Amino acid sequence: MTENEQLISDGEIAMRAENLTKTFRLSAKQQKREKTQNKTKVAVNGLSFTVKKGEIYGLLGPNGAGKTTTLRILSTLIKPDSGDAYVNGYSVTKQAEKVRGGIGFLTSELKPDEFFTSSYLFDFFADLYGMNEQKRNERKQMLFERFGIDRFSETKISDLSTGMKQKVSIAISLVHDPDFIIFDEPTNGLDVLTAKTVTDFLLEMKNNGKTVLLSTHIFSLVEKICDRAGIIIDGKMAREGEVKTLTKEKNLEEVFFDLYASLKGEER
Amino acid sequence: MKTILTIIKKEFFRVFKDRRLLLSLILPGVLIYCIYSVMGDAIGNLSQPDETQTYKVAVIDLPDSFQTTFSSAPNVSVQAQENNEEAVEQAKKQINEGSLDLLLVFPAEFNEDTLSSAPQQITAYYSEAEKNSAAAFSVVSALLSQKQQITSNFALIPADVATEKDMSGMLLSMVAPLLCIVFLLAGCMSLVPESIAGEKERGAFATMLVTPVKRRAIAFGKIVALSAVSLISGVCSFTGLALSLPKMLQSDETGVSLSVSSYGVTDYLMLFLIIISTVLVIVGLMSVLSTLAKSVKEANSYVGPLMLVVMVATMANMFLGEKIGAWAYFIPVFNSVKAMGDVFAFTYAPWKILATIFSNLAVAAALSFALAKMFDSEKIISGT
Repeated sequence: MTENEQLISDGEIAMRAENLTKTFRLSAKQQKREKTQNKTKVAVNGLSFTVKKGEIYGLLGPNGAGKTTTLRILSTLIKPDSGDAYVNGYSVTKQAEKVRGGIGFLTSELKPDEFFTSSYLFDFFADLYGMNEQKRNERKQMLFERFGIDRFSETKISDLSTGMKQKVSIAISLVHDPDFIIFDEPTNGLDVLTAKTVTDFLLEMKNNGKTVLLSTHIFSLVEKICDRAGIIIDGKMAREGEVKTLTKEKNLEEVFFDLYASLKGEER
Repeated sequence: MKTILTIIKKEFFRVFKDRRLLLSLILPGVLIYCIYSVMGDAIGNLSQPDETQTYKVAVIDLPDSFQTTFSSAPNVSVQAQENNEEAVEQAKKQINEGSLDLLLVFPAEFNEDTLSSAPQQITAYYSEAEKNSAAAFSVVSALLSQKQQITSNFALIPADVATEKDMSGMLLSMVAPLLCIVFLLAGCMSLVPESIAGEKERGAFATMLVTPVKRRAIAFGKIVALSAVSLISGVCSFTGLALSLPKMLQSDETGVSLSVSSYGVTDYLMLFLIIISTVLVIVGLMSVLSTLAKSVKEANSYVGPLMLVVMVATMANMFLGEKIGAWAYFIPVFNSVKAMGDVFAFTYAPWKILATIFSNLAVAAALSFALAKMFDSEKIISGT
């Protein structure tokens, strides 16, 4: 019995990607930019991995490796061409609404409407998740205090700083207290202080029994907070395992570059 | 000089490489040609009496010398009428109802002497508010002026029997539906692209798509909210118009009293229901186009031609209204203009109003369903 099969039978799997494939059509402009004659680009190519309950799993890879596409499939925003993914046992292709109810998803492409205040948007999303007023107010107080949004809760989001906007996005994505958190590059563009607030919070979530799947290209972030990691190159899982095991002999950055060189050769 | 040429080249490249922009430059010309052609033909048709129509003319004390004048006219059907006050009143009523087109009253003792110096008065009762009656008056006037070239012993005295209510109804039925649609379109245009394409452009729209809310709930919620706001905007504009219309048409000078108080509660209810169903269709159409667009600018370039198409349909309806069959009450927006015109002219049939409202609601529901499907399409939402 493999490790995955053992985990599935033990009911320990929180998220599972099975042979995911996703191809995008390239426009003439994109073909020119990518310097290719191919009319399609395989963003994710037979990707499989599992995320255990209560762990932080990091998807590591360079830009264009397929990290964001994978997370968008898991969050049901897009559908895979083939393969399937499961969150808490629910299929992202067949039971999308059930998946959506249990996840908190954050990506730079999804932005809160800047016309509103963070307080208003928090309440709006709480209503969409069908939360009662008491739970909503408790969550709002907790998350706003935790991220220091409370002082700006009635300020229009357009008037907030980049870091504060990101914090608002995180707070809104967690409005319904999801058990499964999918964050795409959560510390991108943030100063060190704000980035620390975010990473500390992710660890806190893990300690509260939540499962976190994040994508990043920052090696130190994976080394610091992830229990396990998967290195994606060209849409394929190049290596996967516990961070401790992966970094036994070399640091993650060296592991990645060696792997990249062995797979891509002179293209490096 | 070279830099200027470089800039000019770049601008040309930008325009001619962007098919949408190019289309938005050419399309107005095509649409203007269509609109003005339709309007020109329609106005031409309006000013000419309908040759296929036979006008019913009642005549009192028709002199022998006029018998041939009317029998030679193929589109005039003359019927003799008794000469008493009651019969005249009855005929006037029939003219207002549209069952009779014209009443000609000759003097009881018509002097056949063609050299008579004092012209004898022939009174023509007709209604300006009834299209056929007004046309019948033109036809009969033309016939009698031909006769006047031979003899000058009579003069035709027009007597318009249209009531003020009929006149304001006719004027409003011509103008108000068009203006209603224009104001509703303007209200929707300033809202819908921003609400859907704008949210898509800013990345705010997809935040709702990762919640467990059903796509059709999002679609329905958007359409209802946008319709309500568009309706408020349309109602504000229309109220302003209703209040200013009498002044605009100088009703004191024309002797026509234009008043919205001529209409009862049922009329207003009918108008309200027609307008609501129309707004739902317009918002639905614009929502679909805005969802297809990646940005507000692109959405506006899609919605602009839609506005012109609706305007063409509205104008065609305004001028060709009576020539179009009952099937028109099942064509969305087109039916709204027709049904509103009927209400304003006090000539509506309940089934036509119901057909209008239900066809519009059915189309709005279909558009809402299509919108929900589009919200589920990653190609449309993510542009991938």
